[in-house]
Order: sequence, then C-alpha cells, then structure tokens
Amino acid sequence: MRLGLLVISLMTTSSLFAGCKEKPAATVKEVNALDAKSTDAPNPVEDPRFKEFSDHLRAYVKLHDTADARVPSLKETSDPLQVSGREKALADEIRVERAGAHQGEMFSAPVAREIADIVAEDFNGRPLNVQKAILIEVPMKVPPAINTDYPTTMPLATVPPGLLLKLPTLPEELEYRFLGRHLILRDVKANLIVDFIPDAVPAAPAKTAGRGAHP
Amino acid sequence: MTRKATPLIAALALAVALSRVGTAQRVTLPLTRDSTRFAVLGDTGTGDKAQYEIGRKLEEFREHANFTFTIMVGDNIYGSERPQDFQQKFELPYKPLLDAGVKFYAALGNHDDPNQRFYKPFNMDGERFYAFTKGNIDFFVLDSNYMDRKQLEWFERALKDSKSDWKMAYFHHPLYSSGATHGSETDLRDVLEPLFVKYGMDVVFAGHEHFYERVKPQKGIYYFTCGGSAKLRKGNIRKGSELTEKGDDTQNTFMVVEVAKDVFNFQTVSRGGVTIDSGAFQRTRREGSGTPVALR
Repeated sequence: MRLGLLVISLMTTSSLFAGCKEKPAATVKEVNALDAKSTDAPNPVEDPRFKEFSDHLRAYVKLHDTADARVPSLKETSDPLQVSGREKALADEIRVERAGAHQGEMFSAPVAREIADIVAEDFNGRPLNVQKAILIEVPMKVPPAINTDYPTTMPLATVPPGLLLKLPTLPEELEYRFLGRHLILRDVKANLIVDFIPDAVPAAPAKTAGRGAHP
Repeated sequence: MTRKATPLIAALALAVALSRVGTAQRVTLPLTRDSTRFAVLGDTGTGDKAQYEIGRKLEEFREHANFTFTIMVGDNIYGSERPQDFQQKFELPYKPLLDAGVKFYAALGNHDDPNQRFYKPFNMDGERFYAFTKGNIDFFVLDSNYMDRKQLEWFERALKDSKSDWKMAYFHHPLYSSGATHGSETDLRDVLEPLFVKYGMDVVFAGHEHFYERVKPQKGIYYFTCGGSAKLRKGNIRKGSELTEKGDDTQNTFMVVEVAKDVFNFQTVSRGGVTIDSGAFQRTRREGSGTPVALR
C-alpha cells in the first residue's frame, strides 16, 4: 500500500469528508476468536536437545490444569479483587501440587546449560549499551525462589524478541523473564516462579559504555 | 500490498500543521460528523496529582470533542495492584470519563501484571494481545513485553484479515524514540516493522518513554510516543535527534485523535490544557489506481 500524505490545516479539514460510515467489526472479532493454543509455531522445543525440557513442560501444563480446575474460572470482571484473588488461589494450588519442587526441576542441568548458552550468545552479540538497556528495569536485588510470587510491585522485565525467538517456545501458561541476571520460568496466571537458571545473563564488564545514539 | 517510502512523505510530514501550538483549552480538531474520535493515554497508573489533572483535562476535552473511547499504551497500574490501586490509579482519575461511557482499551506495559487482561474496564477480552474495530479503523493491541512466536503469528493473521481503511497499532515500547533513558526498541522493530510495511500499517502509538514525541514518518508510517500522561521524565528527549518531528518532555500530555474518512487529525494537549502539537495527514485509498493525491 502506498500512503499519499496530505498536509492540511486543521481549519480546512473541518468541513471535509462528512459521513464516515460505521463498519462492523466482524473480521477482527473473528481473528480474536482464534484459539491461540492451536497455533503451531515452529518450535525449537522439537530440537532433541530440548526433548527433556519439552516433557517437563507438558507435565507442568498438566499440573497447572489440575490446579486451575480447583479454583473458580477466571472471567473478565470489574472487581480487581477477583482477579488478584484468583491469581493467589491458583498459585496456592500449584504450590500444593509442587510442594518440595526445587531449582533445576524444569531446567535440568543439560537444558540449563543449553539455554544459558543461547542467552549468553545473544547478549554477547549485542552492544554493551543495548545489554544495559535490556536490564535497565529488571529488579536486581530480589533473589528468585521456587514456588514464590514474582515480586508484585516490580516491573516485569521485557525479554527481547530476538532472544525469545531463539529459545524453546513455551506453552501459554509459562513465560521466560529476567530477575536480576537469572532467567526465570514464570507461571503467567499464577505469577509464580516455577524454576530459574542462575546467572544466565552474562555479567557485564565493570565499565559499560553509555548509551550511544539510537538508530 | 507494499508500502514505499517517498521523499514526499518526509517533506510533507515536516510541514504538518502546527497552527494551534500554544492554544489553551481549545479543541482544534475539525469535529466532522460521523468521524471516529479517541484519546490516547500512556504510562498513567501512578495515582498521583498529575494523573488526576490529566484526567480532568481529558474530560474537559471530551465534553467538546465527544470522543467515545481511549486507548492506553501501557503501564496502566504502577506498583502494587490491589483493588484499591485499581481504584486510585484508574477508576477515580478517569471517573468522569467512565461515567460518560468512554471505553478504555488497554495494552500491557512492563509495569503491568498480565492478569490485568481480565479487568473488564480495560476491555482486553482476557487476552494479552487483541484487536478491535472502530469506524473505519482496525486497532491491533500488542503485548510488546513478550513478543513471542505465538503473538507474531496471531498478528500477521490479524493483519492479513484486516479490511478496514486504517490500520493502527499500539503497544508499550516505541520502535523509534529519541529518549535518552530507553531509546528505540530495535529488537522489537526488527520483528514488527516488516509486518507493518507488508500489510500497510498507518499509525503506531507507544509509551514507555515518559514524554511526548511525534517521530518523523518511518517507511511511510507515523509513530507517536505518548508516555507522559502521568509520569514525566523531564529533559529526556535527546537534543538534535533526527527522529523527532515534534517532542515535549516538559509537561504531562495526552492526545485526542479524530479520523474522518482518509484524514487523520491529532491534537496533543498538556496537563495545563495547552495544545503542544496538532496537525493532520491523509492516506490514499488502498484500492484504486495508486494515483498520488493532489495537494490541497
């Protein structure tokens, strides 16, 4: 498509183009109705290196669903207490199901090594100012612990899309996040830390370059 | 469909009318009959004085501009997200708007619990990313905090199926920004911009940077950063940035937009009610000969 842009003064636009007709939202609504779960994206999880991880993910989703079935279903509500209450109830149920879970249960040592290598390679391929920018709002002083809440008053660190596309795809129940230099596996609906890879993000040199000019 | 950037675009963009700069308390939009009107807010959820004042000013503008919905570009609730936080950081500051039936459509910021998608007044339909249509505009609301394969696939399908005249996207992190704190999100740009160009995105709104910036059109696409509707990072726009068409990092701001057929009109207003940027541009129709539109 080619945009033809026309600069016009606001004074002159007032009388233009009356009668813009309301259009039904069918198309976009249909798209919204698509089941995200059915999306079959190419997935590094099919990589034999991640077969064990894939098995762990499947087991976790089963456990999550079991816990999820025990709490009232989550629908849109104007009462935020229902949203937070539901989040807490689900987290409590998962804690019960995963009592005694320990670090490395999802990210076994070989998987953690593979993933840490991917993270390190990705970070090391970025200029220092970009590395710094990625971590700028990451909570740095909260050590992750299995079966605890992600700190609720702190920002959720944004994982760069370029890195996400290299990591094994997760089911919608889970996501990767940074907490300090650790890569955590977070249960989205329960806000729960499921596992983590310690120090997955390479330590930046003591002196990092300042942010340069942005492209 | 492909979009071609032309020198004309940049030249014309440079000349976008700023005729109302400095005008206080006045809606300068054309207010064309049957147009689609909406407000833009970003980085709002502080619950502090600035947010409340912006809320009041926005209501004053609504009374004249009569917009029916507001898009929120993320960081809807900062800090704790207890029920009283939703009240103090959203429901009360915008109570007059909510009472008037204005609907809010939120995107998630990095300070937002993704479970906000279940909070009905944010109209997210329980989804981290979603789309909706108003008038002749399809809006695509993305979760730029977590741009994974699933979301990208969904987005491309949604774009492919979009048939409205206008395509607008909004999300938290700006693809182009002159902010000294964050700057352009180049990783995100790498995955989104090709889709924008391929499917003819017209306008993109973002926040994250706590100021207002209208970026020079990039590959034919207009980018607005409106992340100072409660937070403010004074002096944060890099001076001399080649990206900036117009910027303001001295005061809190919101935007009001009116789309009348093929014309996009915008007005950016400060907390004190002063118009700090305004203008209009036109798009050509997608179907047709592609004959350039004559300058008016």
